[in-house]
Amino acid sequence: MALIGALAIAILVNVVQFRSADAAAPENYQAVIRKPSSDIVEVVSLNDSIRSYYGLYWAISEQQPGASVQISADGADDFPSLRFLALGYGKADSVVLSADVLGDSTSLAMLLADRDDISVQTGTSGGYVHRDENWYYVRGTCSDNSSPELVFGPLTEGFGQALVAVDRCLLTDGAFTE
Amino acid sequence: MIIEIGFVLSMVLGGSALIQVAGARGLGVPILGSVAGLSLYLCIGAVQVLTPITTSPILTVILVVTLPGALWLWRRFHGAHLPISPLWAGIVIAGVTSAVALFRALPQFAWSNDSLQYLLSGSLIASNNITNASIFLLPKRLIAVPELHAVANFGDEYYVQSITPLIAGLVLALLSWMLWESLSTHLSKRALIVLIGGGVLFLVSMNRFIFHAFYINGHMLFALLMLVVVGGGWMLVSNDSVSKNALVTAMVLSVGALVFVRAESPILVLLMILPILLDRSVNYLPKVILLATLGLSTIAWQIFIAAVYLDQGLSVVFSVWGLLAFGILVLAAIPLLKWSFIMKRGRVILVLVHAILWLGLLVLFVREPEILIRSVSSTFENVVLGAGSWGLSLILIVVLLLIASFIPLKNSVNLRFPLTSFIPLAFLLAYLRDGAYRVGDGDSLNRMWIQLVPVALMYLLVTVAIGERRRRSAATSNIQTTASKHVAK
Repeated sequence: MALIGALAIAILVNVVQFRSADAAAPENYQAVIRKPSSDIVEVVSLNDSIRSYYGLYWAISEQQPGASVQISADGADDFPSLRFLALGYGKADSVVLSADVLGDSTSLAMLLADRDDISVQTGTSGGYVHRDENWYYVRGTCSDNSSPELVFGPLTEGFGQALVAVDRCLLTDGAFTE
Repeated sequence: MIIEIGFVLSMVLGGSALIQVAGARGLGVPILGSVAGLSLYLCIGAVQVLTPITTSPILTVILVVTLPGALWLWRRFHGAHLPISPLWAGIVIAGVTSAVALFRALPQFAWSNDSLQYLLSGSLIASNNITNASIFLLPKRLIAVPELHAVANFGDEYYVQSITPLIAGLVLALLSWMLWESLSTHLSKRALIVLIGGGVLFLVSMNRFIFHAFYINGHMLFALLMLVVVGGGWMLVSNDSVSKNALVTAMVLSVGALVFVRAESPILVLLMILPILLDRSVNYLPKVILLATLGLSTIAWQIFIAAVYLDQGLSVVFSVWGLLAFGILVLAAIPLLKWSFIMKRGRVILVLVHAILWLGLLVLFVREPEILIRSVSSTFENVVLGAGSWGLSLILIVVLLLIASFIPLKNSVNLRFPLTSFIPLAFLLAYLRDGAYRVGDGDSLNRMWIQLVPVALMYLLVTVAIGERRRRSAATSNIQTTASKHVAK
């Protein structure tokens, strides 16, 4: 009987402290909090570091799902990470390591030059590859929406490197032709 | 939503068919059946990942219904008594459908970086690319939680919104059912309802239970499967109200599934089943199946992980070799189950295991005291000072457990040993991961406590019900004996 009484007190304590326990927790660890939506990408993208980790791949999955991705030969070290990110959150159809080097076909300055045939999204990498370096997703109006082809690779930016995902049709003819 | 309903119903119906064939009746069919279906789904999914066949969750869903369904039809065709109540079947299907719809309508979920890694793996499973998941994902996140969410990718979503809350609901249902079946011969219906209602209220009023009910992670899943293994193990040796075949079926599937939930699962599972393995009242065959399931699934997973390391041109890390050796030793230990020298000394072995765990911790503490000091200090802040959002809940459970431990309960070791052995093991794990636990909600040990809570509550409530009664019965029989002596005089 005493233990039943103790259990009743424990329930009462749980109820009384429920809100204060939540108040002490960071938002994503709170027990009861209504999110603006059930779309997890939309909700977690409000967090800067998460957007940096996965933003590039979520942008690709939204605009060019089912893409065939080639990784630049000088990105071979990052190939395993780029492959699972592009296949998982990028919703790519295939990811292969190319024999070509992205830097031989273009430069960041060329890609980002004032032109109206591209759209650019950018962010800072914080995850598995190119930590604390910028990423760019450069999409051209030339791309074939039915079977998009993308090239991933590092390009020089200032004194460092940026991770660039670019439509293959924006590169010099003959490069990355598998 | 149709994908989600189909996915959940496949586990409920497939598992119910299997568990009914195994001998369960009444409410045990949908409740124990749902857990068995969930575990079966995870085991089939694991086989798909570990073999060259597709990892598509559509195939998993089909197999989880058709395999038990075919078995059910075959047994029924051969004259087995497998009754169906259309009314109850309709209630279960309508209930599951409504629950899925309700949880999908709620914009309520909790997440952390780990959640996003689980969902990334889920996406890779759905597109049959999990072998590309690399050492960043597979050794830490494994495949059970990703498998649960993989099917959402077919609806252009990343997670199955209703699955974690439904698992939390299943924890409540399973705990209630286990208590009802175990205690209904000892207590009046009214007392039983008060007891079970109190237990359920305690859980749903607990902040961290509600958090984990919506948290995209594997802790609530682990809690459910642990309740099946430990609670089911206690029922196996303590009462005959439920078919032992049905209990063993659910326990074996849960052991298989648990290995794919968390990296440290094999060690935890061995501690969960050790009291059963050493109990002479349990038949040899269930023990062999439990141990073989643990050993084989551990070996299969570690070989797969080793292959992932080698595929990336990396050397296989020590933990993989260690757990592979663990799996082989578990298999090698099967013949020992027939050795009466060991079986007669079950209690001594359990004490020895405790001693080894504490001794191991002491040795590591002497070599590197900083990790344990920081871990204990962080855990104190998380659990006692409120940094882990537990409030007083865990302290209250511990106090109640301490009181309960003074009340004698038959076979209490089955419920108690997995709880008490977890304490030294949890701090040993800090050494194995080479990093102290930290202050805050996100700390892994702070999140792991929920895995023990349902079993702890079951131990507490069973002790309240039967332990006290035994004491009273003893007191009553003493009075009766004294009275009869007076009459004789």
